[in-house]
Amino acid sequence: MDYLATRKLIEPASRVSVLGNSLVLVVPKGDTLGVAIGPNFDLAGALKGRRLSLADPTGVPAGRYAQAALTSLGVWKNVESLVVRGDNVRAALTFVERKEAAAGIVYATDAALTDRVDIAGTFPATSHPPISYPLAIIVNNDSAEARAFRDFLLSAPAKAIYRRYGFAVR
Amino acid sequence: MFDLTPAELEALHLSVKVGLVSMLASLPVGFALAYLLARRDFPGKSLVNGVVLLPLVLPPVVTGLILLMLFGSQGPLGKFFEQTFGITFAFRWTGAALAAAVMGLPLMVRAMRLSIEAVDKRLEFASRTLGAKRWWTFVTITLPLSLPGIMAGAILSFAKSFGEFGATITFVSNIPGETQTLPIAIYSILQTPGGDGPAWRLALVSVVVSMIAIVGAEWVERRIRTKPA
Repeated sequence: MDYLATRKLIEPASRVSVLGNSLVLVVPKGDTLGVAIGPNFDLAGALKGRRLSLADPTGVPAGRYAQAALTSLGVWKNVESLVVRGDNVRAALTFVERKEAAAGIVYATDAALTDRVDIAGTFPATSHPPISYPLAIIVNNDSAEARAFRDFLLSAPAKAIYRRYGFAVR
Repeated sequence: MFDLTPAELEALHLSVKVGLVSMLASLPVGFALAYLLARRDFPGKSLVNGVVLLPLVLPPVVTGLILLMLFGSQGPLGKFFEQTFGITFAFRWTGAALAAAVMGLPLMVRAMRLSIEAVDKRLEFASRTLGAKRWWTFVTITLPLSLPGIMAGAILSFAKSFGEFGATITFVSNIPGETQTLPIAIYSILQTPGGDGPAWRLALVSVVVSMIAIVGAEWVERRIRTKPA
């Protein structure tokens, strides 16, 4: 969104961000890793050479947040060689569901959608850039319909839907 | 010429390796299947034909998912290969080669089968009446006469392998240096804003490699055709 904003492709006044999410460490149902998330926690040791599944940190936001969180906690270098990169966050989750990876890092909202993984811990919100879902109207598209749709997305009924799926709503 | 970064060179090297290995490994399997389908009648023939052709029709992601279920570290065939031959497919380049081979097999079998069917059976009968054993007839008559089809099948298989994307990324994900082939590297770069430049460079590399493969295959094929039988 910032990329679009610097190129003046969105209406700046229409930009809002009401949704948030968190990152969780998931393991296949019934498994445990035996480590708690914290500075320099021994994730590599807990994986014992097995794989850690993320969305591709090159471009997929969930992967970039995951890499940022692991980097700020000082464990990225140790686990980098064990990382498998899904082409999106659901693909990363699938590898954990199928037990192909020993653990994965996905959004809390994705982890909540399946009963085939357990949540082994939540990353502190300070360990990665805030996960937000900005909303803005594109330049030259500021129509009554676009306004109405934006208003709906910010309405109480819409917020109830976000909450039902586990998003943090501001 | 292209000033490739080490990571890009690695993707190129991996793509060529996956393409060649999957093509060579599927040659015997593909030929056996093509021969069986061209020359033998057996119960379940259309089923075998259907299974071989299936990856051509299925969405590649589905093929990848089936491979993950069968050949993943938790899959029955994955466990079998791991324990019997020590070959792991999950998240390894071998898995990328397997996915590429499965995707290329229908094209290979198709080309080979047509070519074997076109071999004049009377030549084989003549060879047999002149006292050649069954296997000698096969080696001296059937095999050389179906060589153009075998070549075409091999090229199609390499071509498919080189460009394979959907089944590969679903089965073995996207690991730089292990399973990140050229198409996957390009896809990965395109996910980044401003990645058009590097993506085009890799796209150009793909075009060059593909052209070399096509021209090389034409050259080999001409050599085969002009060689006196």
